[in-house]
Amino acid sequence: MALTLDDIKAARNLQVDADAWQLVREAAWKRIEQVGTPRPRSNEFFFIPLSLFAQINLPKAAKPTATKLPTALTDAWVTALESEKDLASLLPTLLTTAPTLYEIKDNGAWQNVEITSNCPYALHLVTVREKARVRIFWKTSQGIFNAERLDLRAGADSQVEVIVDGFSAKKDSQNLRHSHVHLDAKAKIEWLETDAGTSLTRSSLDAHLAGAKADFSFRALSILEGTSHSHRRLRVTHEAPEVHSEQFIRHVLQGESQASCDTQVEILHGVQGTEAHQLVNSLLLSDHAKVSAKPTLVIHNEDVKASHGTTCGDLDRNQLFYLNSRGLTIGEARRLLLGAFGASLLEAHSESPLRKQLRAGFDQLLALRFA
Amino acid sequence: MLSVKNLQCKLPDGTVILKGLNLEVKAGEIHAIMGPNGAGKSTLSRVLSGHPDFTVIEGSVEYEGKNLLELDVAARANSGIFMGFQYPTEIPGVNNLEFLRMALDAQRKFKGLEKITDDEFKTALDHWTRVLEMDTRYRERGVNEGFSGGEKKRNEILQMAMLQPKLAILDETDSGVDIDALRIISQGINALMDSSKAVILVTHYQRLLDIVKPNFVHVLRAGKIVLSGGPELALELEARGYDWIP
Repeated sequence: MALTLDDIKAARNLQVDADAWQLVREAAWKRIEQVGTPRPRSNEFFFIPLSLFAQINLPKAAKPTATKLPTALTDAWVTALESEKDLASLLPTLLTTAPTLYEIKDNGAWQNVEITSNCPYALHLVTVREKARVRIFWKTSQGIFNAERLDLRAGADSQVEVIVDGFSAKKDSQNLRHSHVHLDAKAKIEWLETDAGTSLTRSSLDAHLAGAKADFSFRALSILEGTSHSHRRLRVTHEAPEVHSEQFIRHVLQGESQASCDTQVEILHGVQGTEAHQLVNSLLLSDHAKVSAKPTLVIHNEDVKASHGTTCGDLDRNQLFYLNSRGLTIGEARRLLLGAFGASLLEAHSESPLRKQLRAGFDQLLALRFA
Repeated sequence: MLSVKNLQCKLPDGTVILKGLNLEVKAGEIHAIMGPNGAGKSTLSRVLSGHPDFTVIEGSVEYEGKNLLELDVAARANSGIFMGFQYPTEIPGVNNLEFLRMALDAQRKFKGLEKITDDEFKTALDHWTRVLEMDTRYRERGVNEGFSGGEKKRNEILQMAMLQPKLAILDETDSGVDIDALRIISQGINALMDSSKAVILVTHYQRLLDIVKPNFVHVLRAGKIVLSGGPELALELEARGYDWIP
């Protein structure tokens, strides 16, 4: 069963719905019918070979969960869905039986929240209240096809760390992951996601820096091999003065793997004194690996500090020779350089137990793949 | 220790750089290689260390009775050949100490020895950073990352001191360093030298040779050694240049 509208509808019809969510699901289905499945050169899936979607097998059913949802929430969702254009943002809404809700209030200390789902379709709604500090560990679903969405609202003066550990995802899985992030004044979010190569991982994120002096950092590291695919699409909007955003993405590609980064920062009219930086670095370790990077800045003001860049190439030959000339084998030298390449991204993220865990996973992966 | 006979090599584009070079180096000797720009001095250093850009098309290189040209780059290093780079490469993200320790352990593994202990490593490192008057911040930084020219050259000598090579080939170690750094680097080279080791110094200037006293001075021109002599030859070259050499 491939990813066609009929198949999506069939999968949706097999669900058992939580009553309050039914309204939202109906709206999501209506919107999916309008948006349709990805088409060649469609904006949202520009760099992704659409043949991959033909291979997606939708699981037939998910476990129903009974969640009491406030009517106001469901009404707001129905309205929000009308402007969604991305199938990856709509699918989890349609296919989940009910969202899971998290509310984090300030208790004077850092709190840890693990977000996980037994079901391949999941929608997580997280509200971080004013001044709260939380580390969110998003353990992605372990199905063969997963469609997940995380909506995160960071209240004023809150600090949020999100870590998405894709190193443990199933190699033959297909994953559509969408996140919607909203930052109030002086909220700070540090986002770090990894993936080690699956049949398809497509991660999309919309971030709205809506409050003054909000700060959003997105970092991602993909270590790909074989025929795996990893694609990212980010849309970051500066909507308030003196906000700061940063995107730092690194890929290591071997075999016939493919990656893409379609990232955009838009600084709206009248939004002064903001800062935005985008950087995508890719290492292509084989002749058949492929990467596409399109970091874009859309700036409607003069009082802006912004930069964007992308690099692509093999490991530096001079560095390899230097290490080799000190007695390290070529394999050891390559591992050391790859370790530095990945570690410098991970270490740009604030130090925390989760980062340490991710670093350990990265080291294991290097030892395994570049033995 | 090292016997180079009729060495000829070329670049990937076919340009022949070394055109029949001969050189004999014995333990306990310091050889200075001088010559005009483009003569092949740096190429000689790279060929001896196994740089993949160069192909040997003729001749032989024997090192301690073995065919050096059959050894890969790491094996040459672990057999005791150290190449000091003219332009040491910056490697951001690879910590100096982590790298140095890996290099030492690679050498020990090659020799069938256990890894270096924390105490051994610390003792040697403390000693040599003191001799070379190196800032302790060096330990926290990436390999040559953000180093000044002088710091990079000192780092090369520190690596050499820690690795204790039998044959050190130092490619213009004196370029881009100030007077104090030159003195410290030169003293470091002298401190390493003993009757079981040898040094090949590639240099343009007499100033390094004022402190590191060579046994032999060779003039390399157009890919060949065209003149050899004692330390007095360097003084003559400093005074007269290369044009007088037939």
